[in-house]
Amino acid sequence: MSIDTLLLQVGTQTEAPTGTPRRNALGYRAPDPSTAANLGTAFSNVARARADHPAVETKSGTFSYDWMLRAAASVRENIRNRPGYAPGACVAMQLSNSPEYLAAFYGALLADCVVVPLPVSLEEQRRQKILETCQPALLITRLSDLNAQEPQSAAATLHLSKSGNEEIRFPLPRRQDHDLAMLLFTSGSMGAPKGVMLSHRNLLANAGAILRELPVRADDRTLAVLPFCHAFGNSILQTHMLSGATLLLERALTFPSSILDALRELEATSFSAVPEVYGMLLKYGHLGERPLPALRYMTVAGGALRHDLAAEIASRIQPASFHVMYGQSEATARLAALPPDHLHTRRGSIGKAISGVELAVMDEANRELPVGTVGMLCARGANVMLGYWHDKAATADVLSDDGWLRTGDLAHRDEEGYFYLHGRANLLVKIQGYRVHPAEVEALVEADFPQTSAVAIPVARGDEVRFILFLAPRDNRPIDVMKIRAACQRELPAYKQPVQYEVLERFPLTSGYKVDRAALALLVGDSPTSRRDQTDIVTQS
Amino acid sequence: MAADRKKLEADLTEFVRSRGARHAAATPSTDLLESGLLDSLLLMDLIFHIEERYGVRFDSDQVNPSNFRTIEDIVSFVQNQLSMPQGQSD
Repeated sequence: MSIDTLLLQVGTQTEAPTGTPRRNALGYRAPDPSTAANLGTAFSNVARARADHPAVETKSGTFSYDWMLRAAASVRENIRNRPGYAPGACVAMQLSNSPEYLAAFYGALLADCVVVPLPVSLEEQRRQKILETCQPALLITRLSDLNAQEPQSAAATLHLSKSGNEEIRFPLPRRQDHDLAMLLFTSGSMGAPKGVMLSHRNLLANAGAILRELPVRADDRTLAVLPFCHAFGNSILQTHMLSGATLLLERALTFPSSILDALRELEATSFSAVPEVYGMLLKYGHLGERPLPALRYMTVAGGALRHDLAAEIASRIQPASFHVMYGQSEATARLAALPPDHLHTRRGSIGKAISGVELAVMDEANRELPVGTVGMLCARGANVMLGYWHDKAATADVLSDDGWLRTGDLAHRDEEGYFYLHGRANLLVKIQGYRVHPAEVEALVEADFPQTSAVAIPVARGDEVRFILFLAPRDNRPIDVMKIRAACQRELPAYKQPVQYEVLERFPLTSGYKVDRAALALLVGDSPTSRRDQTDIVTQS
Repeated sequence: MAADRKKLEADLTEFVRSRGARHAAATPSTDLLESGLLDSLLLMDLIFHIEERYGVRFDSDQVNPSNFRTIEDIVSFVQNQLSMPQGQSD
């Protein structure tokens, strides 16, 4: 398999638009995204209407909608001029949040291709598996996002610095409603990567529904910390670009105080993050102490935020509003939202179905359960995916013939249609908004160390969830924890790395002779923290 | 205390280095912010590690760039906290 690599490079700041962009183009109201023919056309129309308005602001400059459309048009042209180009082909991209990301994303859509955004920190094994599955002819990246080991002799470079005044002309993309627009790889219920197939209609419908729920305006400035290659981050990208608003991309937001400083200094009007980030802002930030006059609202999704923390944030950011939302990649992004004024009356609720979405709690046979009964949360609507890429069996597991998606989340509904979550029906956990299956860690260890069995157990650490890795020998050879830990550190992104390693002689088993994960989870509770220091010890069984 | 500083520095350097390929070359004086090695997940893990192992608690004011710019800065901060009357010195 050979994949061409295209490196994008933004010219120096002087090549960014020099005119003073209008900060407040009052009165602009973007058309409802759900009425557009396809996502590329929707972006192109807004970009032409908002030409001088900043689409993206970074430390190095301001990039107007006009710049962005030109950059996307250059990517489009590059893709279409490649030998073997065919509409509907997959174009992979591995880019951190940047103007280049937007140029690659919309450029590929304008070329009638399917975008496959991959996280920059993706582990190599998984990356190979994904690339083999979707066979892209092209991978778009940039030097600063390239893996150091990556051979790049064959890489071509495209400079995105055209700031000419000539009119940007290209025929609009022809993709339609149900054509595939994007493959979003996530973890399936068994841990293997699954490509969530999102159509133009999925993406446009969900963007439209979110825009009816949130007070997004054309003069909005959102501080974007979520990776755009993630369903939540992607929804921030689409809703803001399709509204003609501005994305603020700051590189260094490591510290809670740097997030708050950025919100104030950049006059951000909104902010969206996963629960872990809010936990950090409350614990180590001074959220609410210094006023954020420009701020209008904040949102949380990508995991469950404890009610008391949500209430605390809501009170600290007043008069700005706090929106608790819920969704998943298989539904493009969002499924439910809790109106801010119901935060206190519907404690712990994920809210009601957003516009165009039906939510129901069902039993194993997909029959709706009565109010108050816990069952599988199911969703139906124009935002529900087409299925998993090249995986009919996995698709059939979650999508019924009549369009209901089984989310994998357990929930109940109250009399007024508000939903409440009760954990997962499978082993998937959310870490920093990423869906991770314990098998992703276990399979890596067992592949490298076949004489060892590994079981990863999620454990709460403060407001975060991380894994503890239990190890047991398959034969009588000792387990070298140091080597296993080194392999995990080498091959897994940080959020998947176990924070503790424990060696057992054998795993507890259930009556069905499966590893008893619940019993292991109890061991975690018993394990004194001082044992953390013993993890380097090579244990002889 | 001088010997402790070396131990503390070695421990935190190892903690940062073991983070992945990009982190393997970190030294006590590497600028963790300029180099982009310190992201929010590593920051939270470092805080957890220091709180658990050394019994040092961070106030919200103390989680800032000047205390976390280099491993040396973190070491100085932790030592400072440990030598204060209310700090535990184990």
